Amino acid sequence: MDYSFLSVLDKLIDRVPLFLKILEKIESWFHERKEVLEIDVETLKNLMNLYKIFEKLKEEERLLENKEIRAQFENAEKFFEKYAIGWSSKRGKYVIIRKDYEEFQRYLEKIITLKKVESKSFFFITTLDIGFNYEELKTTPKYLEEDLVQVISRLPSNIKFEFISLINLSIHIEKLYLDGRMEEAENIKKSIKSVYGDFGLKFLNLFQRKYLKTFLRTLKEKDPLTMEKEIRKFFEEDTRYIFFIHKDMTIDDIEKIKIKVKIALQNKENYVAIHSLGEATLIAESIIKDIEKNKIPEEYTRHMVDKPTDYKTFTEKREEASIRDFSVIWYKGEAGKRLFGFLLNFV
Amino acid sequence: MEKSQDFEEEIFDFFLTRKDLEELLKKMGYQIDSTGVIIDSETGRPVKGIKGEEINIKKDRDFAVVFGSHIFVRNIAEFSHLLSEKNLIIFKREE
Repeated sequence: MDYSFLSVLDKLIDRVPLFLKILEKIESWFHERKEVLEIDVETLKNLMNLYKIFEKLKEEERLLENKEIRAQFENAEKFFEKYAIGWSSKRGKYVIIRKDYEEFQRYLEKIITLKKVESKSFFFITTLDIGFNYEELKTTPKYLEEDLVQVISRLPSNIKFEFISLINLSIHIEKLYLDGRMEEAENIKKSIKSVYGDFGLKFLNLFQRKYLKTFLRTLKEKDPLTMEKEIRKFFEEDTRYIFFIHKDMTIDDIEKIKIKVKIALQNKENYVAIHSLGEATLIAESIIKDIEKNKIPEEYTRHMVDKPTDYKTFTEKREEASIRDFSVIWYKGEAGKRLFGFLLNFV
Repeated sequence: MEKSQDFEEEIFDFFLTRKDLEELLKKMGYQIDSTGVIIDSETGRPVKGIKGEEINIKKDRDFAVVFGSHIFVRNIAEFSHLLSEKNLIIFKREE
């Protein structure tokens, strides 16, 4: 047996009691002759995870040679054939609907005709393995300080939509980190990279590290043209030597960063920083060790952060553990001090 | 039993199985070619996300169809962009 077999098997066995509970619930639902069943987030998440396992089993047929697994697979298949899962805006709840319910069929017919017609209501259809993440992004309120809300509302029109979208995603990812939902956060980061490229990831990291939030505050009194000029300067020049280390970086990526940092320090750039979180801290430590083998120009003030954050992760035994922040910053001059102030949330 | 009128007034976001979603797309007049690209049967052209890239159901496994203006999004980041363009992102003021 290989690792993936055991992993799927473990997950399946873990979730059998939950699955039986859901089936039991549905039995009683039949008894009450309800067509739409409101479910809580936990039930939805269980169904979503079952669906992921179900899809995995379809891909790896040899797993189905096991009788118990096959029985569970068939149960799941029957379930997903009979029921549709979604979110009702009116109820503000997740729901399960019987597919053979006449009204549901009529509803689908209506959706099919919408191809050519603009509908007044905004809704989406996606797959069960990602639906919850879409819904969360759509419905969870995003909190932002009053002064930032004002700055954002005045952003130049050519960057406004992109910035608002990225702030929305940054706040969402922050919440996922605080909840210990790393895998989902990483998945969204991948989608940010595919839509907004490296700029999107830089935006996200600068926002997470407070640089961007504090910088945006300095734009409060500025007119749109100056705003745009300063935003461009912030991303292209001021923050050019801020590096965010990621656990999946290749040796080549790491070597490139080492060279860039060494050159930046030799050239006495105002602000050079290396930031890392969690597993990436080990990579960052080795980078710093290598860089500091050379003498750092004495004009620089060095600041180091090495402490746990409020971000959570879970060990294999499902024990909660906090994620460590390891960062080293070298700054000099007024411009360097200013950017360091942004990190510390000082305008 | 649910009343039909109540159901008609509802607006749902649906999270379907891949099989159901593909069937629904076909009923809506789309085809999926052998590489996984969604083609609009009427125009014979591939469907594109809001950033202009083709939607491939094999690669863009997190895609969604968004109604209100009938747009495809490749993933959550594109969905966020669409919400932004539609002015549907509302930041609440932190106390």
